Amino acid sequence: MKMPQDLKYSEHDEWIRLDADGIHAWVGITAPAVEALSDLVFLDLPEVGKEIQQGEVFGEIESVKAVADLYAPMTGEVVGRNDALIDDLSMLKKDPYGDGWMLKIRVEKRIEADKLMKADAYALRLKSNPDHH
Amino acid sequence: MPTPLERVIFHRADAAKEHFHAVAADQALDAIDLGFSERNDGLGGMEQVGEVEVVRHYTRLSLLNWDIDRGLYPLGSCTMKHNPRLNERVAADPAYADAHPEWPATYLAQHKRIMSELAHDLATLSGFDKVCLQPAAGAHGELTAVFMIRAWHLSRGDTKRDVFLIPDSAHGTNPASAAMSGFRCVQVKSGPNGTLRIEDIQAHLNERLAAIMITNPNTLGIYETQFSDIADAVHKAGGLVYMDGANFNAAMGVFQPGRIGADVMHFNLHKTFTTPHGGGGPGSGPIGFNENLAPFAPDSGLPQSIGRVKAWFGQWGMYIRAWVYIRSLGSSGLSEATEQAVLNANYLRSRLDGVLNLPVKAATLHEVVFNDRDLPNKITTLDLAKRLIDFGFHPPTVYFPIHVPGALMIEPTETESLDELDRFCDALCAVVTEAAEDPERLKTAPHTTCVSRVDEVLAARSLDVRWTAAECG
Repeated sequence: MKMPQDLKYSEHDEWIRLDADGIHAWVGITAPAVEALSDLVFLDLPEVGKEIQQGEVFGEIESVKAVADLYAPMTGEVVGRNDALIDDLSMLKKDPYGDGWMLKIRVEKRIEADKLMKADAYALRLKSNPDHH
Repeated sequence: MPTPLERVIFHRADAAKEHFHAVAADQALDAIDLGFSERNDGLGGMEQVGEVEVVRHYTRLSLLNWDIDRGLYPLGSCTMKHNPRLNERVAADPAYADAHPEWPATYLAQHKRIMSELAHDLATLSGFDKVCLQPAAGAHGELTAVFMIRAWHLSRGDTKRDVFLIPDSAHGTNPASAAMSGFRCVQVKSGPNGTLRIEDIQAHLNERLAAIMITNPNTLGIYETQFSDIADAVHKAGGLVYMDGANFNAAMGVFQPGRIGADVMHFNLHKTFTTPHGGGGPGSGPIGFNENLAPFAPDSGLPQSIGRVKAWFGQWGMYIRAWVYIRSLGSSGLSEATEQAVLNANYLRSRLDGVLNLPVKAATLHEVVFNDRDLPNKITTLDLAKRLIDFGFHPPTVYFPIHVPGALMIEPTETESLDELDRFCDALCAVVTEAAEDPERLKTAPHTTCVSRVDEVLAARSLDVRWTAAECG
């Protein structure tokens, strides 16, 4: 499976795109994660101004099958939230790495990115663990 | 050929104009005025429909439903067993069915004896010191138990314990009960054999630990072999052990949770003890507990009690049915029922192993979990379940437990015959063959019901169950 090369990936299937300004980043979930969740029903995201912590739950996504927690790939303050996505979850299927973004955060510790996977490592992990999805 | 769709009853209003009155007023025979005429002007604009139309409408609706009286209902973890008619016969006795809690005490002596015997029988079966019948459902029993656990810690001045350990295979009600009581839920991963291992909880054995919640056998149908060791370790760390009794149908008359380290547990009378599920009657979730928790019970009558959790005596109608079931089988009959439930589930397992993928290979008891890993043509568990409906079976539980991807969880219960089990296996094998040969048939199933696949996203996001004349046209 092809993963965008410019993103970093968490073990919980979130992606993060670090902005060129070195301060901001966008957060979303990967295409295989969206596929595994099947038909999406609700998305619960934190409000602008909230702090999210790397590895901690920041929101929930509900499909017709189950509810899944969303884990923060990095620590930071929420400075933007994709409200259009909350209203129309089909965007997650169409463009999970673009218009399907969830949060924009102000990154607190850039060093945390070192704990995340690059595209190849994430793809390999999916391959070696097919039962994961 | 799909079953015809039953229209909402308001569409039948026209039929009312021609409906036949059973007693036609006659010159010689004046009909008795039953006082209905004043009520016939309609309730809040609702249409009038003749009695026969009402009866037929609801009878037809009931035929669209599936129930255990029509055939196999192998929902895993739900224990959809046959409800013996003897239970219903006794419960229907007006002395029991019409009983009111405010009857004079002498009229209620028999009812109280039955409740006390039921509590005693449940305590005997589970190995706990005491049983409180009040909680009105399994999850209600859980919540009651978690309240009691909290009260126990607080009574000891132990105010720092805020963590509940919950395995990834648990029912969703476990974390819900703990979170609703103000605790923080920490998930514990099951080991490779599908069971909990003591090393996986070691890191949490500290002064923050309030309790662990364990379902035994777990939701994969596997007996938690390290249950006692884990319970000992939790107790040493100052925590308590809650056992989820949802799967007591594999324990009844065989092992006693109260004797292997559990402090408190709930029973589902509507699973294990043959009282009806869902629409057939309310649930009932009594709890069993040890002496140390007794002062905190809803009915202890002591100042430490967490307080009443249900008005009056609780779900009396369920107690009488469960009592009849227990007393009609006796100890040996109950353990035979358990053994038969385990045998039936293992028969299914051995016939279907290889037809479907068995993700966890460890020995199972009363239920078995397969998944859709090896199905061809991107056929999923959902497609399989939908197609089974066409073969005249209620689908098994799907996508639970959530730690098994694409889970299909089958629990036949002890009340199914070998013939019925074979028919189910044959149907499932036929569906798996179809998955390779005619996948479209599965993708578009069911074909025999009046409604095939519903738009679940739309139903969840924009549910609208109001009726208005304009919308029906």
